[in-house]
Amino acid sequence: MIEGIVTGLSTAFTLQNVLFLLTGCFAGTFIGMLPGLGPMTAIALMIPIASALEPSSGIIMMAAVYYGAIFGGSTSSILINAPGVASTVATSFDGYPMAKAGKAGKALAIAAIASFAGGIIAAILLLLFAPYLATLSLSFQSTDYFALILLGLVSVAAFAGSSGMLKAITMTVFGLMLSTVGSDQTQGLPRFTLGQVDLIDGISFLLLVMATFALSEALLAIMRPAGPGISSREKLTNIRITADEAVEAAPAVARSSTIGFLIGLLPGAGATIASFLAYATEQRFAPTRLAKKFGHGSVRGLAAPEAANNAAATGSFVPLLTLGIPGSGTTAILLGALIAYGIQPGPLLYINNPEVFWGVIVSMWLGNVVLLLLNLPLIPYIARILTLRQGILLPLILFSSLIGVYLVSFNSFDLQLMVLFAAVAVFFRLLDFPMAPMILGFILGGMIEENLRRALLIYDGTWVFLWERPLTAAIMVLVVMVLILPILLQLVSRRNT
Amino acid sequence: MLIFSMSYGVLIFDIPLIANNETFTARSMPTFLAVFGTFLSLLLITRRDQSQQKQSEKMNFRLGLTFLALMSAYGFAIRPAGFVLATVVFLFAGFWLLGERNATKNLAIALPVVVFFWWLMSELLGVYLPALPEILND
Repeated sequence: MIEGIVTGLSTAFTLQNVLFLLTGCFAGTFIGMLPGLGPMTAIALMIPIASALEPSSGIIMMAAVYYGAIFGGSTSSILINAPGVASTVATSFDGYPMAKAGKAGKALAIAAIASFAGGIIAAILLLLFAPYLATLSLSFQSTDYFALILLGLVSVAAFAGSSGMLKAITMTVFGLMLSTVGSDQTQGLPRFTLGQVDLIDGISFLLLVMATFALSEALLAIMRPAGPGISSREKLTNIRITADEAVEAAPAVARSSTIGFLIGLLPGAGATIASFLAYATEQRFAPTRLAKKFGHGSVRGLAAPEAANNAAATGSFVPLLTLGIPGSGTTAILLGALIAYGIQPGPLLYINNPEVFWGVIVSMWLGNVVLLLLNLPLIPYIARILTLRQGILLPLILFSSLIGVYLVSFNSFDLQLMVLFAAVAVFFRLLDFPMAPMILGFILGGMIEENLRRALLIYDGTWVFLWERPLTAAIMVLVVMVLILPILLQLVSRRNT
Repeated sequence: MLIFSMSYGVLIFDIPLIANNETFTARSMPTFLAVFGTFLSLLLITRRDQSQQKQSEKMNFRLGLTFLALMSAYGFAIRPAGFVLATVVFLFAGFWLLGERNATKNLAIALPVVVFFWWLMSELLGVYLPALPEILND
């Protein structure tokens, strides 16, 4: 391992690679900040540049774009409630209320520090446990994945509140339904395409997330009567975090980084589940006084998903680098880039291309330091976007969301579909239906169907795998607990009153 | 949601089946979702007594619909009219609809933003984005 670290240090700390790392972090933060241009688009846009570089330099730069874009996405989640990616949806739950309360600068500072801590903790864990954890995640079977994804889906109850649980579950089912549009994964049979060729590949995630978050948020802002600005300039520049807030956030960051890293390890799970689970965990275990603040600008509620999603982004490199399995859509694009370089990720990557493997790992430390140094001083300037007049800002948000989707497919049908989904999302939001469970259902729909199909095939069409396999059974117990606990707690509190 | 779930359920019959005796077919999960979705919708309807009238503030639905139409028109225009023209018109109209009535200022914001974005994509990142209307490209 020591030898590997030395190899990594000598690769990452060349002037050329440090420059590419800086470029990647800056480009990622900038692109990720724009609603509509998330890490996937950012990395896809950087592939033409990266392909002209040495493999290690190219991958270091694209990795920097990845975690830079995740942080940038948090910025737009906090400032305008428009998460560019699903992994920063949970950030908006408390980040946006803080921004609305005139604490945008503080919210961005908490996010920056939590991301930094999450990234650093995960990078240390990655370095220490990568080989062992890769073996562990390899031992997961489809039955375990099915149970784990189910756990991710039912955790929607955590951010629904007591009265909104039914609505949240309904939206999860709606998201699952949308995920079935397009060709069936195994047999390639068209489903719900309504004869449209453009729907054969299904609905694009970017399209749906942009329509339901960025567009619908901008449309609701357009429809609301004009009010005073969100924050004044003085409040935006205030990025100071009090000692009490630091004490409140620190344990949440440590726990969430670990959760994020472990979830990020699992192929297919990634930063989204990690951020939602971290948020749900903190909400569950917070003392009543702090739990009440969740959804209304809680420091813990903001720090937890931020630490978790950055840690998961780091963790998702483990299955990519050691197994050759992408942990998310973003790492799938990175996998494509590695293959284009003639590098086959997998166990042999250690042996054949140690400079790539260790270079990426060591560059993650450096990248996280760069992100903190780059973002913290820039926060007051980034936050000034809020002081722009709504009449100017809102059309620009609509434009960046629409063009972000158009640049991926160059298909005007996607723009029409986006407008349709935006209208539906506005309707649902006016009726107080949450959007995040729908996105989670949409993302996990394909995965849960595929893993359930495999599990049923393995167990001859019976459901015994739910209790016969210990790991699956343990996760299923958690699923039941997550579903029942809120109802029980509600009953207890009702009896007490 | 009820109508959506039921329509979704009806469309399941359009999914072709290769072998009927398979444990898990392309229809399996959609069938479960249609049934569960219908059940949840009915549950929501029966529990509608909760405070639904939360949106007390007056919303400008006409402006919202106008923006939906504007976005749709932008989607149709971006290819034939070219990126620069379509986007400048879209932004200009958006600013105008939201009360920014200084045409010179609107144009002074929209044009540089669009040209810079096009330059960034086409020249710097190598993403092909036709700037001019389709008829001028040939």
